[in-house]
Amino acid sequence: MTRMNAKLNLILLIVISLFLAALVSRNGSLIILTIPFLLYLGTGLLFSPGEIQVHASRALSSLRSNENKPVKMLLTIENNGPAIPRLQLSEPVQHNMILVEGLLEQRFMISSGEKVELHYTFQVARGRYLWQTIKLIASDPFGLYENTVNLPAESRALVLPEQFTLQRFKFHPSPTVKTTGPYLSRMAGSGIDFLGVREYHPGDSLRLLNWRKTARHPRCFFSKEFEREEMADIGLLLDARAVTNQYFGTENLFEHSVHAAATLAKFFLSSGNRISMLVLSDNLARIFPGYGKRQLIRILDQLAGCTLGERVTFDTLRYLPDRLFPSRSVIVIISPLLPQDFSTIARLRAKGYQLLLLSPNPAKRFSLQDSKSSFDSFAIRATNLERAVLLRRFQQIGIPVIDWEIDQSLIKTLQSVRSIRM
Amino acid sequence: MEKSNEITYHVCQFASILLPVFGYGLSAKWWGVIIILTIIPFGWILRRIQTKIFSWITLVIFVGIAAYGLLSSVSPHLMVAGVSAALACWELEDQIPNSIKSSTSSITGSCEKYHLKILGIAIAAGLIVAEVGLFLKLSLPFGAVFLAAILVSFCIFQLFSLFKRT
Repeated sequence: MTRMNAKLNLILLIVISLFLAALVSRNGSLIILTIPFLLYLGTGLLFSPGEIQVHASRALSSLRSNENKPVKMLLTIENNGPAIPRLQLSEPVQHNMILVEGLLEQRFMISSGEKVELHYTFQVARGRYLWQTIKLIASDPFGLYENTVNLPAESRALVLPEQFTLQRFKFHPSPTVKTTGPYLSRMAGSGIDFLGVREYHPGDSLRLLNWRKTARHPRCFFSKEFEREEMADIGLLLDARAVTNQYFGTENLFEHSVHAAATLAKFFLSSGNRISMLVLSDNLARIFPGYGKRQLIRILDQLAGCTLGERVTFDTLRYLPDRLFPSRSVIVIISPLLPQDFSTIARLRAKGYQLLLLSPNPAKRFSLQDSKSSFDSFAIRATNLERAVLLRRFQQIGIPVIDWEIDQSLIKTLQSVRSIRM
Repeated sequence: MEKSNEITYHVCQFASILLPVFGYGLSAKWWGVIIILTIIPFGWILRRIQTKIFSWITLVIFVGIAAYGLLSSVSPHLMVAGVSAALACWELEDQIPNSIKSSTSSITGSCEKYHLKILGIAIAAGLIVAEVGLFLKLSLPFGAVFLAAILVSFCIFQLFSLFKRT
């Protein structure tokens, strides 16, 4: 439907004012002054578009992309009706969107039967993005008589969190899955690490015979045993509570945790483990145990869309389903932690889970020198002490803790950790 | 903005200032000349700020100056021409400022060329009709003038609507 815009209103206001001034002053030349405006309005009316028969579609260069990687949006507009002298395209600005190339608002003319392709390139942060319509404003060449249409053109994009490649991470959990994997199980079986020597059993390969010991004991044969390598069930528990992931200026602590979860998922899966994940947010996103690249895609997809939760608490972990985190499995908790979380995590440890805490630490970012007042410096010192005591308590009950200062890269932090054996 | 648009914009801006200055100067109304000349730095600021409202205010000021000039016996031909130039200038101001960076500049460029052509036709036609109208000397009573004004406006819009339909 054609609507009157501010431009048209201004011209009409000028014309009416001049008419009234001419009538009041009884000066005919003031009416003459309205003629250029009237012809301007008339020309606009003459060239204003009639019925709009436009079809629009959009296509993204990639539906799943990595964070801060440029994505190209291609918009195709086809005019099946009469020519439109001025068509304005207005694209919505997504959250945290950086335009790399092109424009979100473009004006062009489109003749009958013509197809116009427009594009722009942008970068966005991790998240799920949805475009539903294309907003087009058809008008006369002067933009006086506008007709706005919202054409359906749905498109979705999933921007995955950045995953870093971890080369060395000395983490040796007790394996829980009786399948060949990366961790030594302290049980005899097929492997390459020497475990011990036992008496020969019929059926043992001759290659396994320990000739040195056999030579010392006549009438007896001895075989070598090797340590079996098995895989572990590893669960990633990402803390997405708003109360722990406060914002510091433009800094978002949660983004660091998400990157850590993505990096660890990639590392553990590439090592051949079985991974599951629970995002502790309002909707409790769950990924049940699985292997390989497909599982990594599932995890990254879930991480792409996860947001902070306002209502969720750590008490939810009391009702962890065994299917998600099998008995005695390893749970890597990625959380900035609160003092009241201790009891819940200690209960998990008591249940027999092998726990590893990766805790992003924002407190050291604010050095004591930066503090504005003595109250600030005391507050920072108190926070650091409280945190140090909490982490110490976890270590005392046998939970290894990685205190990750977010100023340092995650890779550097994990690679500098001394061997963690469970 | 396209180069041709930029040149036309500056020409119109120059004409919209120069014509009323001439009009007021020829009638020896120097205070009018001073007021118009003070608009030049205002226009310069407008170009820097690129705020829509300033260009709108400028148009209203120019119409006001022309209307006052007509009431105080300044040359009506120059006033009408000055207002037409101000209208063209205001219309050209309303362009996407950074369209040159667009990846689809060729599409936008053709739209701007078409816009300039139609604007030229509209302003030229308006100017010619208004200048011819100034030669008509009719003496009508108040009521007749009022009715005539409404009738003329109605006829113009009906005429354009008829053109559009056909």
